[in-house]
Amino acid sequence: MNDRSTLLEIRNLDVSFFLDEGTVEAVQDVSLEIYHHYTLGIVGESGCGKSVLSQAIMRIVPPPGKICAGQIIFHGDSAPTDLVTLDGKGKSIRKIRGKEIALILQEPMAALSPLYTIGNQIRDALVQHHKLSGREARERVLDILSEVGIPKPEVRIDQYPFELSGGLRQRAVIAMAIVCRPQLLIADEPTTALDVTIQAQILSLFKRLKETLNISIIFISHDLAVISEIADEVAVMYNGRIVEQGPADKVFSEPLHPYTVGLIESVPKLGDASKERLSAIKGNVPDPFMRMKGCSFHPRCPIGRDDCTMENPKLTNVLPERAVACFVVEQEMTGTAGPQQNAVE
Amino acid sequence: MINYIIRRIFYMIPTLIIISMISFAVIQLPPGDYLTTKIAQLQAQDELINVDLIEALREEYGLDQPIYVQYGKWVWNILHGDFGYSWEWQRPVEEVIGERILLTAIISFTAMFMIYLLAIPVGIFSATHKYSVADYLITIVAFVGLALPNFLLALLLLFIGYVVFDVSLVGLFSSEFANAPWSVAKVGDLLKHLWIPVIVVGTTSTAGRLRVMRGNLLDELNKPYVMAARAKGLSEVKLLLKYPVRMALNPLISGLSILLPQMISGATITAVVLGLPTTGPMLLGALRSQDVYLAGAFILLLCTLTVISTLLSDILLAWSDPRIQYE
Repeated sequence: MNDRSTLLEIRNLDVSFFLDEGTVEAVQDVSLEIYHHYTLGIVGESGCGKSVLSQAIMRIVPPPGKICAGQIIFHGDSAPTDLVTLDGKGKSIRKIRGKEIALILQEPMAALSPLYTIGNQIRDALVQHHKLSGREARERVLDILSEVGIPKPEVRIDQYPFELSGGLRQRAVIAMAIVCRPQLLIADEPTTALDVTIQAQILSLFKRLKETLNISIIFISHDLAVISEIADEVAVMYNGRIVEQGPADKVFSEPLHPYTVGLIESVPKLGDASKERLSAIKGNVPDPFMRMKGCSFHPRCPIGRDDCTMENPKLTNVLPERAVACFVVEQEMTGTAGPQQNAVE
Repeated sequence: MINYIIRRIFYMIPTLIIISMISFAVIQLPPGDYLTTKIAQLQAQDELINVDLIEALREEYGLDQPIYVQYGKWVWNILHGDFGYSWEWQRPVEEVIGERILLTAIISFTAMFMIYLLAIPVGIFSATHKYSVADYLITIVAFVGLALPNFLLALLLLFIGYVVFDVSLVGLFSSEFANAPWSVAKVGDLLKHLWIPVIVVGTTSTAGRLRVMRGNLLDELNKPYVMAARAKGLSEVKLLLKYPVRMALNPLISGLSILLPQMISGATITAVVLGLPTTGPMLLGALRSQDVYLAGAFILLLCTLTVISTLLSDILLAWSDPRIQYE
């Protein structure tokens, strides 16, 4: 399916927000690998750290947020670079931003300034990275607009965001991200604000772009259906940590982590005639200011044991290509896991 | 756009008519008229008053006619370029106010220029360095500036000028130029004196606008489109100026129209304290003695200025913010 050479490697990344009320550990000990020509889906509910993770890769985590530990190694055009070591406002990271790694932000309306035409906003990155003249830049913007499926680009290029429909705006935002032909595209909830038919169109646009531009995509969503549609591999995030990871089809057909199981069961199934209530994961997302001892899913976990509160389970490979962070599942699958074992050491 | 401007200019006409009616009526609202004031003054000086003479004067000034007739005559004459006669100054109104309007405009526009020149960059700095030592210092200075009344600031500056530098800062001209005809030297002298009233008139508004700029920009800085611009690889300064600053400027642009009348009325007290030959003190005097045509001409001119500056700021805003529709 792909050549499996690494494009981006995240190792043990910690991102925290230092607020007056306390410290929020938004991303904790996250390790991921993204290959060339590859789509990684990241799923999780609101506030689980998905967006912060994407901002961390771009090095644009807004203050008071800070990357506290870890590495983000990017194998771009030049030698592998650890993005964490770069100056967040410096030239070297700005040469990567928008040119080699691009970000599509959540809401298409808010990601565009109402004061400039979409052509003007798409042109920014071109002028920044390629020093194109106005005329050349306009040609490129027109090309990119038709590439993302915006009809009548020569009209749309001079229109303001408020003159476009939601779907067209989202396409413009995508055009803004891919205009410099990045190798990695991070899409943060790119379909959330759209209705279902437009969602399907945008998804097929992403699939097409992946083929035509030969890029890798990190696709972030809370929508399991969307992720299963597009991703090669899925990482499930809960409370800042990755709790399960594996090939998309496997994770959705045989979820291992109790949180993933809960997520999948809470989605209504078409044609399910039973009148049973849809199951929901009981309880609430833990208070972000509270540092929990042990597994943070434990209070809501249907299979949790008393010893789950002792320490945090590490993401462990339990099957080929499949990893899970749960003592109970790990013990079931391999027979040799549990916090006690580590505690003895 | 052109249609919009023409339509707006057309709307100015009824606005000005209504303003002229109200101001003419308000000037005459206090009991009595200019002659009553005059009589009271004469009586205070123990002079004998000839009743026939008063009646004759009343007739001559047209004060015996109903107010709408007086108003009609006044407007008719203005349309023919005649603003009437100032009874108190015994000269035509145009002659009395011409130079004062000019000087008021010079002070007001210089102050407006200074207000925006200072408030915008300092506000940007303050917002982008939120909660730094510099931001706190700017905030403190701004609040003092907001709280300090104009007249007090004027007195303070006069005092400091007199005690520390041993110069008199009263007035807009040195004594040798005060009544001299306009010349290059007189303009130079004006520039030397101008900064005091400009600082006095502009401080409060500068402080206010600085806070507005800071607050607006802080709101905009966390908007997703700023992050999107940053994700494109633009440098901080470039993206700041192109995206959030441009957005945060809008309330300041629409605030332009309120600024001008604010400055002119605020300048009255300053002008009294500093002894400036501007419109403020003269308007005050004309209102107190019910010198109708002088007061009326002032109010009409200042209102016209306000209406025009509102139009200008609206046009500027429409030009800067594409979301504004001309319909």
